[in-house]
Amino acid sequence: MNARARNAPFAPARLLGLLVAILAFSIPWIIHFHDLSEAGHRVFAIFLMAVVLWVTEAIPLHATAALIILLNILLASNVALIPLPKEDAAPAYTMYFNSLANPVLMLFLGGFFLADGAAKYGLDKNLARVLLKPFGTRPDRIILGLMVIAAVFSMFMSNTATTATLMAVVLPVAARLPAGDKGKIALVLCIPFAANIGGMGTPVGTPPNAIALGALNKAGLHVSFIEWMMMVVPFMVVLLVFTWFVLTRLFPSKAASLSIDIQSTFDRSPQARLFYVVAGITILLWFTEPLHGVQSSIVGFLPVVVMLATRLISDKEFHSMQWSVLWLVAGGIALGDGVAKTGLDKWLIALADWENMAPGMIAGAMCITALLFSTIISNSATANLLVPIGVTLAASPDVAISPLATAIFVALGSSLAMALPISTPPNAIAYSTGAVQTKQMATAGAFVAIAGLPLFIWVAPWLWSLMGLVK
Amino acid sequence: MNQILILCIEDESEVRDALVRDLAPFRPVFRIEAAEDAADARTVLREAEAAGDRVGLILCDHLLPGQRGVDLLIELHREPATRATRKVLITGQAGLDDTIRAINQAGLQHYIAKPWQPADLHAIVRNQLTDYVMANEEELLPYVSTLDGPRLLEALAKK
Amino acid sequence: MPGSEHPVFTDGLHLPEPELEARMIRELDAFLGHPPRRRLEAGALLFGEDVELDSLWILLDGQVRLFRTIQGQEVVFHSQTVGRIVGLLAFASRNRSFFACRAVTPVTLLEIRFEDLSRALESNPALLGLFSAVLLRSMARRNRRLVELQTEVLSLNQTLAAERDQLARTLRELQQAQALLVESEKMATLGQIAAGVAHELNNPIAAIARAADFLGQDLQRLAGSMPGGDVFREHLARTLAQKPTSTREQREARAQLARETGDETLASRMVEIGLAHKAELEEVARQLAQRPEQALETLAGFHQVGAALRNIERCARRITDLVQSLRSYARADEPDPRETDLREGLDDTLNLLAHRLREVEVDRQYGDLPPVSIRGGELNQVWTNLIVNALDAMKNRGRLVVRTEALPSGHMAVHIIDSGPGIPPEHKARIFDLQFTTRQGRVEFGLGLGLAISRNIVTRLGGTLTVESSPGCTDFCVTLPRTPPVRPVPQETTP
Repeated sequence: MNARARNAPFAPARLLGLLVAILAFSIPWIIHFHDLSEAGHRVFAIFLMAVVLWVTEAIPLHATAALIILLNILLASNVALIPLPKEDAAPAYTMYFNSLANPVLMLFLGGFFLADGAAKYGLDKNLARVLLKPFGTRPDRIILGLMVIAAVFSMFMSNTATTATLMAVVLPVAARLPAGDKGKIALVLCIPFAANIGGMGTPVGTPPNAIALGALNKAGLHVSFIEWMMMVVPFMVVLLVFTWFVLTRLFPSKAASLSIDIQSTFDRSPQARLFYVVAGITILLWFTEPLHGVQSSIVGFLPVVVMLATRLISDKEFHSMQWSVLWLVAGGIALGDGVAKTGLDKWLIALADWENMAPGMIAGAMCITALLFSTIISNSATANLLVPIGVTLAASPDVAISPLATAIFVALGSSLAMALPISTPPNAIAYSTGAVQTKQMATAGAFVAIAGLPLFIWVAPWLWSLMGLVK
Repeated sequence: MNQILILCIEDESEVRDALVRDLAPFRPVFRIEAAEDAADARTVLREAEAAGDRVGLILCDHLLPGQRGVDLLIELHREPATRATRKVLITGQAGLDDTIRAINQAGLQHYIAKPWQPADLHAIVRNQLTDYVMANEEELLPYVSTLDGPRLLEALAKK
Repeated sequence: MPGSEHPVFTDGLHLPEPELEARMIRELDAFLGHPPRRRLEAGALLFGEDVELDSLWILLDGQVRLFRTIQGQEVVFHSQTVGRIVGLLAFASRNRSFFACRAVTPVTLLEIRFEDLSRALESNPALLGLFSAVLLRSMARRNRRLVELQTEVLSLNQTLAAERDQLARTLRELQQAQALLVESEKMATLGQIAAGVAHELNNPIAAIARAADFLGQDLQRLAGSMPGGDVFREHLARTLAQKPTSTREQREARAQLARETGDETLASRMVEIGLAHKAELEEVARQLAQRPEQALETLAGFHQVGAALRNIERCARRITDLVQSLRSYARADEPDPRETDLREGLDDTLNLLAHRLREVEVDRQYGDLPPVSIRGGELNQVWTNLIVNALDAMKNRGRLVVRTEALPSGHMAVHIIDSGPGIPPEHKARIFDLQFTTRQGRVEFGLGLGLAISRNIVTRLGGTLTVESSPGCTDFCVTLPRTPPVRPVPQETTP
């Protein structure tokens, strides 16, 4: 695979994807479904097309998102090219555009600013250096330390950036291990796995979380930053420890000690100090939402304003931010809006007989579906497709599960997928080092998934209701 | 398949053999082509362009039949297709004037004296290709295991 | 004129000089009352220079000279041109002598005190005329003498300048000769070092060449003892004997194979190890009872070893040849002349200059030559200079003809012809000059020195070095006699 081949607009594989997408898109136009409104048909067409495009990546993920917004406006809004029948609800086209400014995106944007600042002022490496010290030099201890750091970082930074940063530190150490020392595999796998798991920990940790939060907000359920953390972090910690256990047992190192040399010193420039203060205040405000009541998305806008005004983030850095992630999330929200407002959701749910299913089974199915999907396709795309359905499902009176739990299950399920190099970018990074084979990654990844699923499906609802977070 | 090329230009077959073999560690990811003179190198470059391959690095001897290595590098540096290509002179015989010219006009990045040490050669090639890949490629991951992994990952983290 | 009231001093000028003088002396004698004559021996000093005088002398008989002492030497100003009257200048400048006066022969003088003379001249107008005339003649003579002297000085100066130039030229030539000596000394030292290095290289390179050969044999034997040995042995033998292929051919073969197999990686792997067709690989795989990919890898291993050995052997041979050339090139210090084929020296030189001949088409037009009796590599320096000059002129690119022929005269001719731009006519006359400058105590040689040295060597051997040049063809021609003269002919500096 290479950039140019991938960028050629009409490579054969891509053309095929587009073709299938068009076919999928045309199904609801050809086949008429009973009980589904005209608007529902149209959004269904868009939904099917989005599935194909997000799975095949025939066009970039965020382009699919933009396409969804456009098609929703052109086909299923009050300004549709072919007007919708009068009896159908025709959502205002601004609703779809508004998805681009969803509060969750603002929260995420705040996360970007903090992450970029941390990288710019070397805070990530410095923290890594400081945090790694107490873990000593024994390989399994070091691995635990790296996992803790990776998890903490990826709660606030993108999983990819976290993995790349830490992998750059770990690679020379891994290279020094003798050939055939399995510790090398553990060393290289622990970081992406921890980053994937850590991403679950906060609303800004990874896009699926934002998508879930966005859908919950639409459904009238507000989850604060700290509430999310309280719900997820315990499981995150358990999973982390389990993963550490699995990796160090599967791939024990023969080396008596390892030394990781992180070259960095704390940046004490005025700019860096200002950044530390801004980051500290932002995170503090996120954690204390129940005390002051200011929503995390609004808090997330604080670093955006301050860091732009004080030029902590330069124009160039501002331009090179990962805007595509925000577009991707927005596309998911727009898709969810369309699904919900046109009655497609209710029709979809009515397809199955939910009453005879145990609530746990439904939640489990969602989680497993998310896991399977996101093993192959992008986590965010998975969340985009599954969250709207899950939340609707949960909101329906026939089903006795909480929408909150369902949305979070989908988000967590999609983060749990780490069996293949293509599952997540962090996995791809680990694979690119050449130190780990797909089989080894799949084995370890399967262990994590198998441990994680029951934890979420059975333990989580019980614990959450015990904590009074879920009804 | 589109690949990044390493082009070795060296007229003595024994030296060429040795050079190509010393570049074996880069084989899995990069295509290694050899040319024996400037005209031949041009053919390789044309074919590469036709196939959609990019030339990441040129290792060029100075004393070539037909055209001097430095002159070839200067010409290639003026052409858009090979402007970004990293250029390394590998010779024992280029004089100071030629070398200065190569640095000023061909963007010469390195000078390897013959006989080379394989470790030096590897380090230089790895470095130059890492620079090239970082400057010209969107996907860095395919090169992490062959080139300077930490540098590529740090660049990736900043993206 | 006697009787005339106002005689003029020019009155006596029409008289012949002896008579004029005789009459003047007569008149003076008469006025002074025949005073006694004064006599001086030859060599006696009459008066010194810059002394007070109160009388002058009429020279009656014999010869005196007037001189001044300059830097301790008596410089004679007048001897033939003294005239009859001595002490004239003292008389004219009132009492101080300018010259000193010495008798050359025994002389007889009539001494007249200035006051007596004044009185005589005042009282005797005839005498005044006579005296004036003698005085004028005398002064005129002396004046002419001065002009002559001046002319003499001038021509002397010229001679002097010419001599000085000659001296400077000689000095320069001496310095150049010394530079030549230093240069040839340097060359001799370099030659000795080269010979020594060549000798030292001989052993290791022989050992390397032999070791490579042994390795090849051992490997063949080892390969033979392995399962499928014949395949390996055959492949190894083929690799060892393989001629270097051009990268063009390799690419073509690869493209061909890629079309045949549809697998570019496989194709390039096969071409690397010298398999031209898929059938060959399949045959090998069948013989080894392996899958084709496996067989390819196994063969590749043998191929790499074989190719490395082949390269060692080939390179060892090249070094051996170079060392050989270096040794025979550097034989300049052999004491005795021996029968030599000029073409060997030319070949050695060309071999050693191979690094500059890559872009040069070398055309060796060797005619039959009888052997010459010279000292080993004596002429190699000439060949080197001429070929290097030719390469410089062509900027290492073009056509170089090296032609040898036996001339009907019994001489032999060697032409070194380059396709460079030629020598500009205005420089042609000077290219064999010794041209060098001294700067900061270091002697820097221009192009000329090489040619000057070459001409020296050739001339010493009784030959000639000439050049004909036009744009695109510059022909340096060395002719040599069959046997060089026993005694070196005198060295020629500038033609």
